[in-house]
Amino acid sequence: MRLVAPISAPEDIPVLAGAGADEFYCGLVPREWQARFGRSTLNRRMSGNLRSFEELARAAALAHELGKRVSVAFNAQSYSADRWEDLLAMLERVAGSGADGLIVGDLALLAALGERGLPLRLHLSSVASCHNAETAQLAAELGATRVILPRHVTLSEVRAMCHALPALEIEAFILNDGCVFEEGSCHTLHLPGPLGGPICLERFRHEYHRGDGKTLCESELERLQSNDEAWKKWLWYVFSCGFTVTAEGLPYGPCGLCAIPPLAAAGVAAVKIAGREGPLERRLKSVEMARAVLGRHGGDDERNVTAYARGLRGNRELCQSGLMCYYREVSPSSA
Amino acid sequence: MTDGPVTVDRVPEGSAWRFGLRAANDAVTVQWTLSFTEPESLVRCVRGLCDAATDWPGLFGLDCPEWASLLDRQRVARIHFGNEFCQRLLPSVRTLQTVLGATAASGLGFGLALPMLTDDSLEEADALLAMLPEGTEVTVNDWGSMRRLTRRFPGLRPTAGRLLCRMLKEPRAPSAAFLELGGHGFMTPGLESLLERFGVSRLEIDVPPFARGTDLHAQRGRISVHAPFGFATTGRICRIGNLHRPMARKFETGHICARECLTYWCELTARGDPHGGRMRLFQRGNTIFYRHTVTMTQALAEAVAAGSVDRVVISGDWNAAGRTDFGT
Repeated sequence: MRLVAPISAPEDIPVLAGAGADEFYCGLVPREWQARFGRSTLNRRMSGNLRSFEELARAAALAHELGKRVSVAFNAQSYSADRWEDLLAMLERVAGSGADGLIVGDLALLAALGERGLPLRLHLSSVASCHNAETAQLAAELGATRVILPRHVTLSEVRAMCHALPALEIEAFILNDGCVFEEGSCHTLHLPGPLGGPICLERFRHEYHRGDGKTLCESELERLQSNDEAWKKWLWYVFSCGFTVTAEGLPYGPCGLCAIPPLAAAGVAAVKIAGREGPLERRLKSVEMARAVLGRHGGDDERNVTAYARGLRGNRELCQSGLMCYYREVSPSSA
Repeated sequence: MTDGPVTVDRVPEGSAWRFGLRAANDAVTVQWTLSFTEPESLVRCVRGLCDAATDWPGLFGLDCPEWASLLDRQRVARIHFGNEFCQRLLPSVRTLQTVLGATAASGLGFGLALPMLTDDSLEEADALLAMLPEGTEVTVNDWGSMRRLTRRFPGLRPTAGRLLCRMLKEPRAPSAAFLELGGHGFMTPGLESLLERFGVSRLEIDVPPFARGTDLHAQRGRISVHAPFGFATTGRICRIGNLHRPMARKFETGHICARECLTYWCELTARGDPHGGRMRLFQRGNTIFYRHTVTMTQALAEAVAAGSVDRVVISGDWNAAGRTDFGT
């Protein structure tokens, strides 16, 4: 199982490769594109992107020296007609810069790239919301060699997709960067704080009503309030436990490390560390954690690997809550 | 009110006719469609529509000045059934039988809407699709469902649902500049080959904040617009759907629920300035919706008048008024 890590600069590659990353992905927003169309129109991240084709070429060269691959994310939900031709021309330049693959969030773009036959691997991004084997099959027909599953999938759904399409590489989230809604179906922005911030974090006042027009009774109000409190608690976990780390710098937050044995058994080809906007230290610690678990997998009893993964951060309470888990089926809370 | 559907079949469905603005003097009609998640609401509504005295716009909160000209002398043409946002709300075979019977008796057109589906739910949906008469429209909201529908049920007519139409619809944005409006996702040039591949001739879209009438058109296919609510975001993890689950099992992917969304809905207001010029926001089940402003309704009216939108899908029971008690 390959470990895929995010970079925000070419120089990240030897550091993360040294910690055990097998593949890399990055964003690219050339300065000339930003000047014409703005920063947010090429991929889902405002920062952490490479800024020129020269930087991309340097990243590809560094990766290739180490026998690794680099893919570039063009995972906007869709691209408008007025920049479509510029986009396709840019992707041809990406192919000429030495990158190995494109990560595409829109099936329309995947279809167009598949027809063009660029010498690049095509990965369907998690933003494409592939939740069933039919979508994965369609992606393969359009030219994808890999499908990156969205965050919110169950292990049984992963198994079903891997089983249905054994020739297609499946990549699954393993660490960092939770999301409350479905990334491919969220049409909102992470607004500046004074305007409310991300919609999932805005502290709205919730005024509940019954659909039948009846007044809510006291017990209903209490139950609703209790559920709202639980939701707030869950949000804290989803957003990296308040963006905290252990004393050793290991990040808390969304995690699937103890699910590596069942993911591998399902046939998952690669696991992904999210967070290319994050600091290098955070990404490095994430790679170290994932590599440590992957290193034990295959050579140790599955239960020992799971126990090791759950003990990595030394905080059993957070782990056992189940609220940090990408794959809750293997969580201690589900036992 | 039910002496036959209002149709606009001047151009056959499935034709390669490209949309553009029609001449202002070209008479335009629109298919008014009511959509329902709950079968009881649908059946009661259909019965109500058979009563010539029923003021249906009033029942759905559209008895306001901005809707008056749009709705003048208009009749309901179609009924759509099925929730677009959550597979936990897929109807049973028996429920669909009831709905099909009620709709057929009314003479109204019928369409089935499906949400994004996982593999298990695709199997469930197959059983529903097998019940539909040839030529029935099915609104699908993920590309895998689209592929399966067109391969297994070639006699049904696929419509691309609004979850497939990606565009920025941030309802809290203070100005259009925030949204960098570049057209909706069905305007993406590369989409044409996908739509052709699956024989899609109708597209469903939302009215985005700050929309102009000219924004509501597409390069290919007929356009249905949802009103008076657009959806801003949705996902698999449902806040209200976890109301009765224990803390250790709350908010997990693939959770089961007691369909609490059928009982409760919620208005979301900003804490600092609850009426500070923002659109009204609502959460129903796993989805956050915004109610159209007067300006957005005017944009829709312009698009209807121009002929670029020929169907308006009114939220029947999945709306902020929570009319699950429709007609009682």
